[in-house]
Amino acid sequence: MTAPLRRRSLLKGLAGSAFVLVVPRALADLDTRLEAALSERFGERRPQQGGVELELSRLVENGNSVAVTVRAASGEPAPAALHLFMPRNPEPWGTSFQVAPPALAEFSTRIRLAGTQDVLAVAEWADGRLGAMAASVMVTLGACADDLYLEF
Amino acid sequence: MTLSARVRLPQQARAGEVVEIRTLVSHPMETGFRVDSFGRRIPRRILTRFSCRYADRLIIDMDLRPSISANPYLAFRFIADRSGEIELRWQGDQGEELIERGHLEVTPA
Repeated sequence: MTAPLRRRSLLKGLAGSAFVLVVPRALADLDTRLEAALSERFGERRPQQGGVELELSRLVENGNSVAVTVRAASGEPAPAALHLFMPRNPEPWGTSFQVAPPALAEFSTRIRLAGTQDVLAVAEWADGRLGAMAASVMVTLGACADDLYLEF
Repeated sequence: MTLSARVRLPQQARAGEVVEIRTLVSHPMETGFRVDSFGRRIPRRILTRFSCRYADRLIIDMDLRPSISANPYLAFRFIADRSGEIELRWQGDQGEELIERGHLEVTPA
């Protein structure tokens, strides 16, 4: 009966070393798929809360087309990019909006949501700083509800 | 498939005025995650990039992914600081491209 012991010691080892959470507490409950998407775009960097505003309905009936507005928070210097992540969509990275003056750091679009989730907006400044705001959206009918989603 | 867009471009503005561009392109933004009624995967076909040039400056460069709805809508704003051409460009993963142009005349404030 060595297998459980081995697993236990492995877990202990992991807890002691690699698994250090670097996300701020308020964002800590967002899951590992979002983590992977953030790593892909930002490497080791993780956003602090604030600096960006995200406008979304709290309740939507149809996840195929959900109006969303993202803008830099007032009082912030203009970010170089605004990003949107949908953690429970098959592909969590939604869009990246690179912006330069005289354009304002603000856009409105329509997104798909596969189900109820916390959409995350991230502002990225030229110096590498990241700011984030999450908004929970309840979706009664997810995008592609009439079709089967393939495993992803 | 030829792309078509409905675009609202400002034509005149005073210097320093904030103007808005609104765009709507007809495109299915097929995600590649759906299957048809025979269980076959419907291949991905999306617009991948949108960009806007204003008076010879790239002011918007946007990556589009499958989480953007079919018939992508986009609205953004900028400060009219000089007269010049506005060029909107969409590019898709099948090599398709759509360019819309307009001219913005900026008068002194």
